[in-house]
Amino acid sequence: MSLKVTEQDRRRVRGTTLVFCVIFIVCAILAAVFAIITPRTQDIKAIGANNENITGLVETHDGSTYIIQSANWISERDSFTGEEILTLNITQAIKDKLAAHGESVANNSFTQMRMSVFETDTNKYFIAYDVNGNLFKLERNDNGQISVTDDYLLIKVVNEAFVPKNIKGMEAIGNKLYVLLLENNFFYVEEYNLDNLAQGALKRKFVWDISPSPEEGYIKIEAVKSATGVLSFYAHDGRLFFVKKGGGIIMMSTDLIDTRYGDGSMDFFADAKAAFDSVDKGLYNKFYNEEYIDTVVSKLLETADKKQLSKGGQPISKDEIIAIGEAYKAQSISKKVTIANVSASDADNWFVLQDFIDVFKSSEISDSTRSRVNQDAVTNATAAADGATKVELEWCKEYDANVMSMLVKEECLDKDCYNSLIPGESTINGMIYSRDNRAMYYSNASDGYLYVVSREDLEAAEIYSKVSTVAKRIDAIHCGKGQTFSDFGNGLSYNRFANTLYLKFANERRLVIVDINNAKSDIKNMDYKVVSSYIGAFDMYGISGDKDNSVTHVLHQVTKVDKKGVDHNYLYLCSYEPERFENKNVITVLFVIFLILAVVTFFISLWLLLSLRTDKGIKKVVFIAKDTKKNKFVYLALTFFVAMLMLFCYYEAVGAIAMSFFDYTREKPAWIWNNFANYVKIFNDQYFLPSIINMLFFLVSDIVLSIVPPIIFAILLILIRNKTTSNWVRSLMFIPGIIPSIASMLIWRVGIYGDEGLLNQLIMACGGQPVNWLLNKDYARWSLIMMGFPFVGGYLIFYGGMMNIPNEYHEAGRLEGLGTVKRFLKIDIPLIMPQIKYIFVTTFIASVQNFARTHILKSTVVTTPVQTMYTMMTEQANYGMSSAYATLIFIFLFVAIVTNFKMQKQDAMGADL
Amino acid sequence: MENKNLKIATPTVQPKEHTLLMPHEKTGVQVPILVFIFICLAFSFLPLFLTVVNALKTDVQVQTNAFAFPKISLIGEAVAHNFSTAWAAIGKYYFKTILVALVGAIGETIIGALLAYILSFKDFYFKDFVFLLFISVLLVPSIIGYPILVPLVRDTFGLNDNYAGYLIAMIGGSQVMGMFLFKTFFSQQPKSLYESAALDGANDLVILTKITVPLALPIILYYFVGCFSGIYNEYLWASLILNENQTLTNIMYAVVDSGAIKYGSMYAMYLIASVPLIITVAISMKYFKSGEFAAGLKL
Repeated sequence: MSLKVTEQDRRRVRGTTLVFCVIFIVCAILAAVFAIITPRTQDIKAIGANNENITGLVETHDGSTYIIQSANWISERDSFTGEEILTLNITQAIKDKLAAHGESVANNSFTQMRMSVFETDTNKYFIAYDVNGNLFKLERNDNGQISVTDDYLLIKVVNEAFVPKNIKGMEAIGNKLYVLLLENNFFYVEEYNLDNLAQGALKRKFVWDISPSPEEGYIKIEAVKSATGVLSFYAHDGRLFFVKKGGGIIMMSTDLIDTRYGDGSMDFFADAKAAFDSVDKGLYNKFYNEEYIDTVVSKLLETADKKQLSKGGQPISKDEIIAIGEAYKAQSISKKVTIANVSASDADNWFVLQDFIDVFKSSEISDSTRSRVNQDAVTNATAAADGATKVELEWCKEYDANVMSMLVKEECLDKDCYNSLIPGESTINGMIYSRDNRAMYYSNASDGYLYVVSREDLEAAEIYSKVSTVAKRIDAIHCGKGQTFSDFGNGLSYNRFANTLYLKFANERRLVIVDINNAKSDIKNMDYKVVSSYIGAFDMYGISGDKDNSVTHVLHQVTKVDKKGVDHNYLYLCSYEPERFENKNVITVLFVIFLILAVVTFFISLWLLLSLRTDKGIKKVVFIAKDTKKNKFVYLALTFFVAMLMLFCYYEAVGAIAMSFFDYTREKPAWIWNNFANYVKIFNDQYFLPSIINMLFFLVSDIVLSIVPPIIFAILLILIRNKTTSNWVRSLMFIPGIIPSIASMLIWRVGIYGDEGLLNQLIMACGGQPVNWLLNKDYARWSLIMMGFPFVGGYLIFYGGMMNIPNEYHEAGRLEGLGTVKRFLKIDIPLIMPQIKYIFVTTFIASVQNFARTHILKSTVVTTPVQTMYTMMTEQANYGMSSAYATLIFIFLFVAIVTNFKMQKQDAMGADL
Repeated sequence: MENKNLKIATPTVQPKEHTLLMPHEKTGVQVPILVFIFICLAFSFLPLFLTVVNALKTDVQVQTNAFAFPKISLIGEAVAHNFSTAWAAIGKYYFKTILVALVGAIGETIIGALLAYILSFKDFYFKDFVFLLFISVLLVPSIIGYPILVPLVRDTFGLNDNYAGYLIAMIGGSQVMGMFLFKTFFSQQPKSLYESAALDGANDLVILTKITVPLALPIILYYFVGCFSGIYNEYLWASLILNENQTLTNIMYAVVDSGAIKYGSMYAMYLIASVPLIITVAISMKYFKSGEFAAGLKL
């Protein structure tokens, strides 16, 4: 090797250097190219002159364009290129139109305009609406311009009591427009004439929900309220479909009649109201009857003469009783009272009186009450009051205008007019109706599969039957399990042009594209561009796709946090081209490969260039080159192992340490630098010090228990005279190992430490009180340590070590006069030091990382850093904090192990000297 | 390898052994030693005893006295009920889990052995560097990387709820342990064998399969068995990456935790789950009873 560097070597090294430089440049360029062509979803921020935020996304009649709307603007864009086709200031257009008709626009600001697009057999309609319920039809003229038509519907807002019409959805069949709205806490459906909106609502109807009634032969019908909510609404071929929160389906006839009963059609609410209104004073039910209230009040006063009345421990005076009665009557006369707008104090009175009435009527009142109240008088009064307002309706039994519920006869309900289904065993977060397929689709969050309910099955279903019994699972389509859509089912959309379903789950970046024709689903990662500090909750406001399903548009919410930590929500529209994304993973992989190659070749080139300068360097290069050539298969094989190592060890370790300095949670999966806040939080945590103490406590006990009892056991085994016995004992000691570790921990948790476990059974047998071994602070730590008693399981390593000590040592010891005890202390134990050190180090590492102990045994009173780390990672999904804990554990282990190795080295050196 | 044991069993240096007992071989000392050993044995068997005894009892019997022996008359009824309930809870995942653990253990063993072979017998310039690269990983607690590893496997590789994703990360993360263990033992093998094999023109494959592996078979088996029960018993990683495709460990924890399975059926479930481990334990018992393998153990 000391030979002079030949000119040939020099040339070769130069050539190699050149080759590596070229490879580096090529790889760097390729990496850059792949980085550039990596498909990204395109984010189009708010449009419109004032840069207002998007409020809605609608598909046009043929799916070739889409329309995005901000508060005042609508903008039509090309579905593929995203280029703007036209933009209209809709508020201004409406105001101009109204001004042309000489209408006043006072009280109508037309601010929160929304839009829907319908296609019927003959026409396409664009309907714009606002919260007041103003409806405008938009028309496209021959020049392609959009203008407002003359047949608008203007709601005259006259007084402050006006209740806004919160429009939740629109659907059209023929020239009929059906509008779902939430008004006064109830859901209604209204019918309009699309050719002339100015006529106003032609029909109006509650959306009824059906549930079984305790009364034989009757069914309870109840108006759907905002709490039980309608998620989505579809109209098609004589039917309206309402999908309830939780997955129930309500079907209604488009005639908007409730039932056909007897000779003609019937309207539950209107008919019942008419019947009850016709009765004396128009009292809705017996609780509204003035006479009845008077009777009750007088009875109450009588009682009050004899003894103080009280409610909920509070005495009630006569004046109060009279006042309650008056308030009650006042409410009943105003008729329009609903529970919702009774003030809190009124509501109290209401229930006070109702309570008393219940007490009077109850047959289960105590004897003392019975003696105070003239039961007969009350019964007579009640009967009289009942009789006075008793409305005998053949089909309706109870009727409560306040909560809009009544009991109607079962045969009243005509399934063709009205039906309601409950979800059953499925977890349904939203459903969609496909007109072309005549079916409902939903994904069941419990198993992740797509289900289909055909219209025929739906119509044939019994009243109040389960959706799950009529639905069919499509085995080929899996949408991901346990997922939920955002509120109001916005994560679900159907593209009729491509017969495709889109499912977008709350807080997930994934979009599921379900191709119904080919019965396959495709789960795509939506690559939202991070436009602000982080992408927050991915709330959905709409998904649409074009006719070839080549572009999908997703309107999603981005939360931006300002410097003060305040969240600001913005809506973003992103366009997503599934086909372009087909190759995304390939491109990403290629990018990573070329990036790695570029980095590696860069360093090799740099080293070669530096080596070229000296003869020594060249010699080294030549040597390494020869070595590498000789061992090329070794290096080739090592590439695989090193790649695995980098991918599954180094990447994680480095990434976790880096992540510990950032805010990173499942809800906000972005790296936000937080000035060591994770560490500050950990060190300020009041549970941190106790958890460290617990960790050290377990560490010491684990190390002692994994070394001392096994060594003693091993020594005793060696001391057994009868070798057959020793053999048997060693065989038997393997057998408890057949219990899976988790099972043995669960046996300790339930079978031994449990409430009815062995220890408590023993204690109770001795007449003691059972102890909660794992949750009592005094016992928990010791219980956890005692798990694994008698701790001799790891004896085999020590036993093996001692058995392998050559007998000459023992002979020599015996000649020196060492007894049995001294033999082990002076000869055996020092000679099995390697085994002891091995167990020491492995136990040390395992003990600090042992989360299963506290986790599986559910001993929540004992925290350790690793348990906190696990909780942070799983339950809280706070990866930044979790990483910070992991980093601290790593530092602790690293320092401890390095110190240990250093000490060992010093010992070894000392021994050598 | 056996002759070391023989030395102890038939000591030639001490021919008068039978007439001259060592102090500890006197009966007065032997009896307390045996008593102590049997107490330890008894307590070690406690969880197993509870499992077997309670799996044969009806729920009521388990509740009243977990320690009592089963009533013979009720065993049939109890077994039928306990084992059918237990199998209904875990049966679906039983063979899947065994297969997954087998595949994983084979993968871990092969990779560990190959890597150890390269690092033990191959001479190349960057050997020390590569060894250092691998061995440094031992300092990093495996739990630290999960916040990064979970999204990597789940989203980047798209292997959420997939046994392949579950295994690939386990195999990739565990190669160091196998390499380290095997390297320790490979380097203790006689060099002369390798030299003569090389002289005879044997290639690496032949050397590996004909010399290295047969010589280190017990330790390879030890590692394989350890890997198998390691994967079979894995809880944390499985709980993070698997969802619908579960492993036995997670299913058992879930059903016990939710209270879906109690008393006798719970113990029957443990008993069913321990069947594969009976085989691994039998192998361990055959090969490692003497503790020979521990001789080369060092850090």
